[in-house]
Amino acid sequence: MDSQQFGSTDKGLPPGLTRRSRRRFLQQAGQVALGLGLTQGLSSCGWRLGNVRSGPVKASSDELFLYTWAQYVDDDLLRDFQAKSGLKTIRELFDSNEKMIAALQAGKGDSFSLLYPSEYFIPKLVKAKLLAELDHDRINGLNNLMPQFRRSIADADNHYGIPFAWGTTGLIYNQEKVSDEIQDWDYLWKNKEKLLRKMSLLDDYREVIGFCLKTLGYSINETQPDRIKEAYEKLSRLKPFISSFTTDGWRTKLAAGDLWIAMAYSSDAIGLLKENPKLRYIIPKPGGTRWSDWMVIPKSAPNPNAAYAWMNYLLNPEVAANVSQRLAVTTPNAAAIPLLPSELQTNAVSYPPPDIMARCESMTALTPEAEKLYAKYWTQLTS
Amino acid sequence: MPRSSWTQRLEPYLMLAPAGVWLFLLLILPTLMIFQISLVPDIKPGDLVNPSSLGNYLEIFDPIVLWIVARSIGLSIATTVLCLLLGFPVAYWIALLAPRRWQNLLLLAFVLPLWTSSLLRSYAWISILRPTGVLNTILSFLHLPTLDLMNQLPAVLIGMTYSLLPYMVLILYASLEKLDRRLLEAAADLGAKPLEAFLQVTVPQVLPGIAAGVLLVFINAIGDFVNPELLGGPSSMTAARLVYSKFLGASPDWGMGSALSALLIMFVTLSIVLLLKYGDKNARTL
Amino acid sequence: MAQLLSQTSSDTNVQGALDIELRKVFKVFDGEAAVRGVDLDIRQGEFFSILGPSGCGKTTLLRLIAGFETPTAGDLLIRQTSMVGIPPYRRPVNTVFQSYALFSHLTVEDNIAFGLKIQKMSRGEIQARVFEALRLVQLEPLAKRFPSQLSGGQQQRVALARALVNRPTVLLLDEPLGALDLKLRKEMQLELKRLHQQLNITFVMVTHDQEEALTMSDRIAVMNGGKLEQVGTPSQIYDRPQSQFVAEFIGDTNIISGKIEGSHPAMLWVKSDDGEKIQVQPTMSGQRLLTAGRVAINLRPEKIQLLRSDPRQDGMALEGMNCFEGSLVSTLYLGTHVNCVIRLQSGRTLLVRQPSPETVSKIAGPVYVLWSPQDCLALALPE
Repeated sequence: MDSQQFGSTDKGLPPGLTRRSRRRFLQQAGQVALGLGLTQGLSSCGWRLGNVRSGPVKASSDELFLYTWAQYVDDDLLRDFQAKSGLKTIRELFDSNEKMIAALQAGKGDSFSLLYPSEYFIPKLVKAKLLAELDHDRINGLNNLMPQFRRSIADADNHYGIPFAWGTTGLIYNQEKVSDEIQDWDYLWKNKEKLLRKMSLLDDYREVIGFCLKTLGYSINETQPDRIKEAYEKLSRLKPFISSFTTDGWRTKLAAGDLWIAMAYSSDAIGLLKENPKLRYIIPKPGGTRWSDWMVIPKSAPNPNAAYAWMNYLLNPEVAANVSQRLAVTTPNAAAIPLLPSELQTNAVSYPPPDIMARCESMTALTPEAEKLYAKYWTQLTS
Repeated sequence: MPRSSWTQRLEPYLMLAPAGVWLFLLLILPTLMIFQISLVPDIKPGDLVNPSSLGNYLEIFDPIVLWIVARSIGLSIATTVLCLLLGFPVAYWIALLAPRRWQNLLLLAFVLPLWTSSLLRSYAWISILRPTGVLNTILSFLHLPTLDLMNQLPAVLIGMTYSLLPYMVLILYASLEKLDRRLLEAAADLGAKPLEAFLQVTVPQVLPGIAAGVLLVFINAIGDFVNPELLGGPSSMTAARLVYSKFLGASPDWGMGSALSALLIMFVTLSIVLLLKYGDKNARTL
Repeated sequence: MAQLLSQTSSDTNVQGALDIELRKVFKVFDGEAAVRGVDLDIRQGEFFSILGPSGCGKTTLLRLIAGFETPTAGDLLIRQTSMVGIPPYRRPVNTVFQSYALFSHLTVEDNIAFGLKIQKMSRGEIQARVFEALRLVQLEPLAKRFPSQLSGGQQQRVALARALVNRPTVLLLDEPLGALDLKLRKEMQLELKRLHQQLNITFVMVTHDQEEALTMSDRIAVMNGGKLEQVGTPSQIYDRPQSQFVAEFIGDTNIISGKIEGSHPAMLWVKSDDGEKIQVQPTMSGQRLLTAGRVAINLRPEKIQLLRSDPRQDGMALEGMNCFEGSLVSTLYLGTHVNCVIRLQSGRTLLVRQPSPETVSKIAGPVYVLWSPQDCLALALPE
């Protein structure tokens, strides 16, 4: 199919789909071309599949090149940053970590001053030697961060990055359609006939297999083959009853009543709950994932000074509080929380109480073998 | 002759050169590269493309993948048949029965949907087919049982048929419009009733058009991943969707994706070759 | 072999029995009458031509007989059975189309067999009949070819065979020779004549070529403006045209308009508009003898004698002959004869056809034209 149709802008999508989301289907087909923009040198002995380019940087010193999720920037933010720092920001968007890394590896590493990978993805980037180490002397306000983000498994001591936003993965459901108070993930299995094609799961194999592992009493980062298989088999029993695996498509359908329950990121839920009081977001027992998206600087970044300026700008508690409210993201900036309106501070979706947070687990990078196994089962599950 | 013979011999090639370069750079070269990647096991970005094994192809012979490929082919055949069954009467009507001055307008009306993004058209079908959508609203208004089609293969089939129908209609129209109506009179004159004339004259006469339409729709259907992605559900994975996910999905495997692409390309090429051969037989009689 | 193809049986082919009868037939297209009240009888076994300029309605007439058009008013009978409301595929006629309308997807053989297969005839009989038809049109060696591999003349023969193989009561031919070159046309004229004699069925041919109609037909209908101008044998049409249109349409003619000055049962005296006194044999106008009023004298060029000396001085018996002096203006060499333009003393020009080129090639000085009253015809002109 012609790929130019998928380089969709907000204008190109029907109402209801225009709202910013962390992930969107077919968001950046330009990356398809990028991901396949393979050639560096067709040398005599062969060619390489993509390459990290290290060449002279052509960016001028007053420009910042961002590569981020759609939800994480808006024009107000860029304008305010320009007013405060004098730096002009050029943004490009991605809708999955895989597309981002594909773009980097295809040689676009020198096009971005700053990236927003998910936490569990940082080790992958580090391993691929794509990231520059942070110079902590140039960062102000690192101590403003919540403690758990200063001791991340993926990036201990904020060696490569600092978090921008975080959230949980849970269930969002329409209370008019589902009168029960859902407590548990197993609710889906127990009521599958009633919920036939009224529920959707995320189109993300780590999240879906992860929560199922959790219901079996294992870790979301499980690597034992028999346990992964067990989770796959359990999911297979649910599959005939679900409407689809979708990361984005559930939102309009839930509002319209075509779906009753959807597995969702809390960041997507926050905005919807504001508009639709019938909806409810929960983190079912025995728990879900706690994810976070971070800011890192590629090795070949043009104008890293601008990247530091951007990080410092966002570490400012006032800015962080502002951003958190406007973009409906949960901030990892502890100093910003007291600046938020009180109803937001106590919002259980944005800032779940400690007992619920205790149920949640962070995603970590898997071993290559486990990753293969997850992928294999995921293909079977979605076929 | 003042002009040397080699310039004359070169002329057609020079005229073909821009298209040739275009095709080479943007079609043949990438295809060869995909083919090369498909021969590298476990390739990662940055790796040297060093064709060494058929391992990626063996992965395709996983029952799951074969099942996906079979589903794609079945879905494409169903789409093609539906397009033909729906498109032929329409094209026939526009070409032979509708008032002449309306023909262009009718044709335009039929092609108009092509002017919108295929993504938008799929979204439109979502709003029609979803459980509380337009279709079911009308059905329940008429006190008819509602239909649960969304996120299943019927919805995918409807979306794909809708997307590709204009192509079928256009091609069949072009073919039917050229049909010599005197042949139908000749058939009637020789005693053929309208249905006999249709089956024994009209259909054979437009067979090359039918073949071209079928081919175009089938190839597009095999390659379509927007409709399966948006209208399909957990059990409507197709080969094109799988290729997409092998490149840009959560668990990229470019080698296997390339192998599947290469097989699809070969399959489509083979069907074109067979069809050209068959189409030639028809062309000879024209 | 003609036995197989024709349904000759002497008792059905009684002289004078009618194959086709048209009764006050009208055909109107979008308010435009193409055929206006045609009454016509076509006898069994005759070669009948419908002749007229393009747009005169002759093809429409043929299509009415074939059934491709339905009459707006009037009745049409084939073998005494009304054909109104009978579709073409139920009529006992077959057509040879103007551009043959052969089925390009079928071989010569299959084209010819088409009608028989539709009739569900047995395979053996089809084979025998197709073979006979191929023999009849001398195309046996080309049976397996496709129409596109044949010359125009060969395609014409296939079209004939395809129609005749069905043994129609009437064979309709729509400008059958129009697409052929002159030599081939002459050949096919003979061929058609031969087939007609051999098969002894009724042929109805539409043509705009008056020579073709005159040489081939038993009877001719001349059409103009959707009406029949005259129906008659070729010699009736040529020598006794009943209207000025027919006179002018069939062959070259000189038209001299004038006024009747005197009449006698055996002779008319006409004074032409240019002053010549011309003697003309009397003609009928309707039921009555033409005795007065304005007339157009119709004089065929080949009926005029051209003399180099004054026949009156030469003592020729000129009693009752028309003789005028003039001069030679131009000559046009046409191979078998010469057309001369003679200007009379009154200034009127006459077209004169002379058989031998030598006699006129070097004429200078006065010439004399001479014709008998029996060779010209007076047609009443409207006042």
